[in-house]
Amino acid sequence: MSAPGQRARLRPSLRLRGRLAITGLALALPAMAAVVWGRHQYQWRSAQGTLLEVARARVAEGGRAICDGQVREWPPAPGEMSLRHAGGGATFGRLIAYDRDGKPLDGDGPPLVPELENAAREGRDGVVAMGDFGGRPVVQALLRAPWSDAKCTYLAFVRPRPAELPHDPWPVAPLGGAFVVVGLFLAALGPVVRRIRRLTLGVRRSAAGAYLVPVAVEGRDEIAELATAFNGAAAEVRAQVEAQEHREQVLRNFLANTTHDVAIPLTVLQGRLAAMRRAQQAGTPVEGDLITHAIEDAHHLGALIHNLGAAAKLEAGEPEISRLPVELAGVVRRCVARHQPLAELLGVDLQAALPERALHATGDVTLLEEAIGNVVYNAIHYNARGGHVAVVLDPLPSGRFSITIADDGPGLSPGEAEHLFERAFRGDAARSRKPQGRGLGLDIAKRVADVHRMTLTPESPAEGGLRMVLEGAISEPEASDTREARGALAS
Amino acid sequence: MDSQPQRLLLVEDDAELGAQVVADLKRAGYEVDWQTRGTAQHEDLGRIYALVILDLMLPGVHGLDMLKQLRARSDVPVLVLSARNETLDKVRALKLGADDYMTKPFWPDELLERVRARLRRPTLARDGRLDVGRLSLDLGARKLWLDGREIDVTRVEFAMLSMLAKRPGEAISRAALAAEALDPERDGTERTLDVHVSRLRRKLDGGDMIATVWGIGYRLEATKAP
Repeated sequence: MSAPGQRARLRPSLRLRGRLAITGLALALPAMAAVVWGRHQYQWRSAQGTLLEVARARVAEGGRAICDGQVREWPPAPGEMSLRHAGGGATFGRLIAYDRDGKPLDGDGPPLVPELENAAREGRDGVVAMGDFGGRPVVQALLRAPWSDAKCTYLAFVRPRPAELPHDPWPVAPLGGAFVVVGLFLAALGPVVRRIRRLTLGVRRSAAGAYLVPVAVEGRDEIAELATAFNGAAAEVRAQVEAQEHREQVLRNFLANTTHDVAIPLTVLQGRLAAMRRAQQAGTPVEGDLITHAIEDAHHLGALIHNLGAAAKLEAGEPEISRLPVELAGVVRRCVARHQPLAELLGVDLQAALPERALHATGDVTLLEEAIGNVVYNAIHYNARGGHVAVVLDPLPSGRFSITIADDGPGLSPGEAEHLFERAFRGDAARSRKPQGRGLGLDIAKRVADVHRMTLTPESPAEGGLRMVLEGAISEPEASDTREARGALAS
Repeated sequence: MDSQPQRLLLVEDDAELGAQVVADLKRAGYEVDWQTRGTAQHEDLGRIYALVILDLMLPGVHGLDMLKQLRARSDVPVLVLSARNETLDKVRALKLGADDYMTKPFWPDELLERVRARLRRPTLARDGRLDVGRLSLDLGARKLWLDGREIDVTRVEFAMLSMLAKRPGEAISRAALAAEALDPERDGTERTLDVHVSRLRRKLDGGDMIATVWGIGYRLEATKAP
């Protein structure tokens, strides 16, 4: 007894063979039947013509005497109606006389077969039919007597039926042949079915092995093409799975690094808060620096949380990233307002300048705010007390805009510019919090610029400091988006 | 600053955050009404309040529905507070008529700065008069008054001052001021801007009403005393 799995694997091939057998028989049987029936018809019509000729010759030779009852040809001598003893000859056979109702004039004469008896009653001439006389198969030809004064109305010519004229037009042999042909055809299909079965097993193994093992390609026919097509599809599935795994790995790394990034300033913040509490309990004044640093830690944590959302969105890619009209002055205004407390805390003057005319770009407002916010954050964070940061939105010629974030901080050391946008959050997470590694925030800013087809370029002005310039295309806003523009102008 | 404190409405369901925001706003000199549920709006809140600060996730009427109803009856500025940092939420709020939005967490100073920025609109009378702090400008007649005293200014000085006065408290870039006020044929280029500003400062009692903004240009400090 076969296992259920084996049975399940065999069933499709049997179904295929069964369908092919039914189709073969459905086509072969009617074709064979048509051939057999056509051949029989042809032979029968030829035989009818020959028989009528012979019968007319016999009627001309001695038919009148038989018609008048002077000569009796029936019954023949024993064995005479057998073909073996017939000896051939054009006139071989017997003539028997009948009245106008098809009844034999001689009482010993054989009755006409029903078909000829009806023909006689209808007055027809030259009708041929097969029949059975005394257990012997015969053919009969019915002729009208050509004499008006004779005793009979009809003469029937009777002779044994030739072997090539079988009475049954549906012989078993040709039908059996049809079955044999179909059977042979199905047997010939065996190797094809076995190849399909092998291909099925190969596909199952490949799927079970994460599509790492390709299926074997045998030959150069359609089945081979199917196997090749499957290997192509498997490669595509593999590529997608690998891309997905890569994304998951990136996300896992990112989460691990971000957890690390969040945990450290949180621990530091906890330490500062504990120190404040100790000072309060001891009745000593809390140091101003302690409070400043605690607030700075909280700023840093807030920026990290915002970046976590931005990075997740970037990793997810389209369609998570929206493409809607963004009013740029509003973006700059919100970024500056968000960072104003930090700037005041660190003693850095943060200012923005916006054009009178509303400028729009197409993109994701959250990501753009995050990108500009990160650059502003760095400009403040890496500046010195008493320093300045200016954010300027300007329309440029040829339908473009620029957002320049300028600071008078330490600027970039030689060789640092080319490493400015390197992804730091996958590697040493601590780098992202140190001046020499502006990684996380600027990496996100650069990637946001890239997905928006904008450019983010660092410039080192002669007077010192750093200028980061974001450039992109201006787009026309929808009519319903004008309120944000109104709000920006009114602020 | 106006002598009468401006009245604001805060709609925030979180008791702790709401109390903190109310305290911050009161400390900054505003009068604040606080409601903790979203309610249907049937009247023009602009008659009562100078600004509405609206949380979105509210019990009762949702913040966005409240914003929609409110905007149908009033032009009062609305600052939306949201815990969600989703782009579509922001876009929806702005399309429904919010003037600004802030995502949580935020610093009290940031909120105050946004409220001030929203309330800092200059009042432009129908006859073309612009009143900003101690200054009054007649944009049609091109006349300037300081504390009611008319000041004689040149064409370039008036053009610069009117541009600054239209957006008090905001930095205006040198390039924008030059493009607005200077005729390159007669007045020279951006480099001469400092000379014009210096003269204007002297005419405005020599005070620091016009502040220099590093990396940008100038800003009119409308509320500063000379």
